[in-house]
Amino acid sequence: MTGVRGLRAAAAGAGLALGLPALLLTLWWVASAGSTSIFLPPLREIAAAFDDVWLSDAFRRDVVPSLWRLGAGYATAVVVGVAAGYVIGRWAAVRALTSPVLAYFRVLPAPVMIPVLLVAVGIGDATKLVVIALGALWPVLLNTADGVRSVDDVQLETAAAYRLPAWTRHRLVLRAASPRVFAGARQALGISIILMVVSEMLMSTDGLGFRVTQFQRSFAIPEMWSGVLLVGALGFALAKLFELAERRALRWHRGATGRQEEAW
Amino acid sequence: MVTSDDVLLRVAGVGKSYRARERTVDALRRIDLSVRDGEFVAVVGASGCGKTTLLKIVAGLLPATTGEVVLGGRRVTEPPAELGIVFQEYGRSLFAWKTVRQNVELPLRHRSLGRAERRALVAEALDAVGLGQAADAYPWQLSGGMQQRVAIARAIAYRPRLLLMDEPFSAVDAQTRGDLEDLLARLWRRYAMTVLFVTHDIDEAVYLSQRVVVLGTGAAGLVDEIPVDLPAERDQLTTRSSPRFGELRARVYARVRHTPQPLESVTP
Repeated sequence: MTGVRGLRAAAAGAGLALGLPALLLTLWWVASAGSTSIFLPPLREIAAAFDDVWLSDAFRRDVVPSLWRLGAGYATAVVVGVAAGYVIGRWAAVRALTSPVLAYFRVLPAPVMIPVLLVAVGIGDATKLVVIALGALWPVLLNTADGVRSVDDVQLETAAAYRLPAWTRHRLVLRAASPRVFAGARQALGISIILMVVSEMLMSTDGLGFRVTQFQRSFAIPEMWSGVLLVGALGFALAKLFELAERRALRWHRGATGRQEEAW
Repeated sequence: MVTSDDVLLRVAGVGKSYRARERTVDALRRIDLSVRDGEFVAVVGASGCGKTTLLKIVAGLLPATTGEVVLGGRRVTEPPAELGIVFQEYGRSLFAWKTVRQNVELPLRHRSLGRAERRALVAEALDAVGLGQAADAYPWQLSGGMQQRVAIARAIAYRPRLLLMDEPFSAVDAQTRGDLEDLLARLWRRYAMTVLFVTHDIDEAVYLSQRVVVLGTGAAGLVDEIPVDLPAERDQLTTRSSPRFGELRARVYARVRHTPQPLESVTP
């Protein structure tokens, strides 16, 4: 009984979630059908360009490098951010020592480092990776530090009273802080995508950001639009994937805080 | 009455003070207390008397400013191995991402026990608190009283010689509270543990314990020790309505309320 009802609820949820995007695309399609502006080509042409450009070897040439940079930069940010955030959150002395420096670096926009890195590291993948990691690091680090610092004293005392080994206690603290870690990692994902595109626009010979700029410079306007749509779709897919992982990992947290499951 | 042979826990001159600006604030003043092996001792006092501070010092979670705690012949400087603990805040002391079974099992994982032996201890403890069926549930899926049972199961699976309880039943409703008190009384006899039970509820202290220790308000220290000479078998209805219960209750009540005040602290 719950199966059928659950299925129906899921279908209704999916209908609601997909309804508006479908409507907007249709509107765009219809409204742009007779467009003669070269900057706003009909969606039909953009779709055709999408097929031509992205379902060819451009995937290997541009999408794969972009995804690699994004993945590596993001992963670096998460690993370094969680590790540093843990140390900063756990020990007050480290916090006192680092907080002025952190306050400075977290407001420094990562793209401003691009010229510096171009001179220092060059135009290679390493530069883009560093830009992405540098920008995405802060939300992970600050949220982890905050989450670790606010772990319940009673949990810490319980762990101490039962003489749990240090390694187990570290894991418990990190797990208790994981809702905040995930919140930071979610922000970092969005920032990573932005920085991937920006860094490729400014200093690259391949990748999605580079390709979109190339199309624009060569007046291949439908192709340019198709690149924009692809970046958007990619970001959306990654955000959904993240949400799925988060949902699995934080099931206990929703339960413990009494929040309902959402249909979508 | 208490000989040194059968003493499990000895608290000698234990005090705790905090330095705030230029003043020194006493949280606990020079407590001397001995608990025999297998004894059930309740510690009562109004809020601010330092009873939780005392419990944390005994648990090795908080260093004392003066004096020492000796458990089983060894001085306590960190949480001792033979100690189980149950806090008031069950919801915060259980790990929400672990199932009931995993919560109970966690402290045992780091003992040199075989897997089968560990499983058996966990299963027995869960059965003993009446949660055999709920082993795979998560704490947050259970009621408050059941969550506190999980915390109790975690403590007894650990087979402590000394069980410390910090107002364990003050966050549950009255009916559940009675059930949990009786459960604790049964477990105490079954496992021959020593229990140090902190509460602000005088009735509960008299009902459960063999001896009530009264801490005075304003960190006045230990003001009285009252032996509870009620029959060993106790019952929520008959015990609580017996004349002797009433007398003991009145005596403890008088000691809690009318503590001679230290000169410098005048409280309305």
